[in-house]
Amino acid sequence: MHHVDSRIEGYAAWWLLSVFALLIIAFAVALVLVPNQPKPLNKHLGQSVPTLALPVIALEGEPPMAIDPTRHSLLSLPRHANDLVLLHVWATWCSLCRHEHSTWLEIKAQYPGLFIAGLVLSDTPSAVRDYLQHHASPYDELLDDQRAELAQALGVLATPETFLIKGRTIVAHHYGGLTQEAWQRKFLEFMP
Amino acid sequence: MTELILSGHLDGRDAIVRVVRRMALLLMLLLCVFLPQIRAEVGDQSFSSSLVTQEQGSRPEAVTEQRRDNDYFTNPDVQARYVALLKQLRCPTCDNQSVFDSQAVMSKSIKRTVFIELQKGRSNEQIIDLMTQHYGEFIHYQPELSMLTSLLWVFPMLVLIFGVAMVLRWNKKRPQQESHD
Repeated sequence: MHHVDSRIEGYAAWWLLSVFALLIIAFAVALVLVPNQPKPLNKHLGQSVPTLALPVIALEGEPPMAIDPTRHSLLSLPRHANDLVLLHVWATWCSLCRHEHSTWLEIKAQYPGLFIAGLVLSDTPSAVRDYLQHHASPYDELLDDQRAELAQALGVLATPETFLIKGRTIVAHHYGGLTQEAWQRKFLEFMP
Repeated sequence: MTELILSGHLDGRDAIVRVVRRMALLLMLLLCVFLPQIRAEVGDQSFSSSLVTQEQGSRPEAVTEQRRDNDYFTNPDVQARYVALLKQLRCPTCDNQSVFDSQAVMSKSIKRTVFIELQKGRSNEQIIDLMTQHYGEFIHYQPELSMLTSLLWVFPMLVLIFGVAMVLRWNKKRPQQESHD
């Protein structure tokens, strides 16, 4: 006898249902087709390396470095137009970096002539020395980027990241841990 | 509005229940649309005012992680710009956070750069430009208003209008149907 209030009659119900159906379709499409937060391409690909003076971390056994302004920056790296530098952004507190360390040793063994520079973010030189004494070092030079200044100028999102520099130009870049698969896909073509 | 809601019949408990139900529906719709904005505004005010009082008086003993990281400003206006800029920038490391909310290494680095550039007297545009040079458009945390992003603002309003229209329609229909029963 009494009207049930919660009932929605007529085409009002179809309106509501179609709106919800549209929403569900939109969410489903977004869920399946839109990739999960794709990483932006590094903006510096094809551009020259930003120059910034940074202290160098000397490893145990290396002679203590004299203060030399050209040595204390990426400018100290080989500079001929065809010279290759592999720049690895990492830190001892970064667990992904620990996972990829063996790949770096493999690459150094494969290409002994390739200059590998490590850009160490927000770390202490003693921790870096300890780590590399225990795990062997693939690096020819280690730059101490305490405040992630050069990393910021390079558009680094997070450790680890890898840049390949030819002459002064960044020619290849990889986000995340380096694997043999990533190496072959992105960097191999530039190797002599 | 109230006239329309009350236009039916207030001749018993059912009618009151009906009116309360409709009011609740309206209130929920309004909350859905406006609550996020209201919360954001209130949050902003309470935080920036606490920063200013902190600047005037001595620093409290128990500083939170967030504030310990903020550099010390002597000018509250520049401090407000600093906070506003950090909120406009996306943390490069985190998936969806502003630099202001983040303690990631890269966010700390950006905070420091913004601080230094403000001390140099750079404008907000110059600082955002510098960050765009480093990171590209990705660094903007607040989406630019475009054909696509305008949907974000227009769609909730459409839902609200639709909801209100539905409520009004039910109110108008009710007396007729009641007479049919």
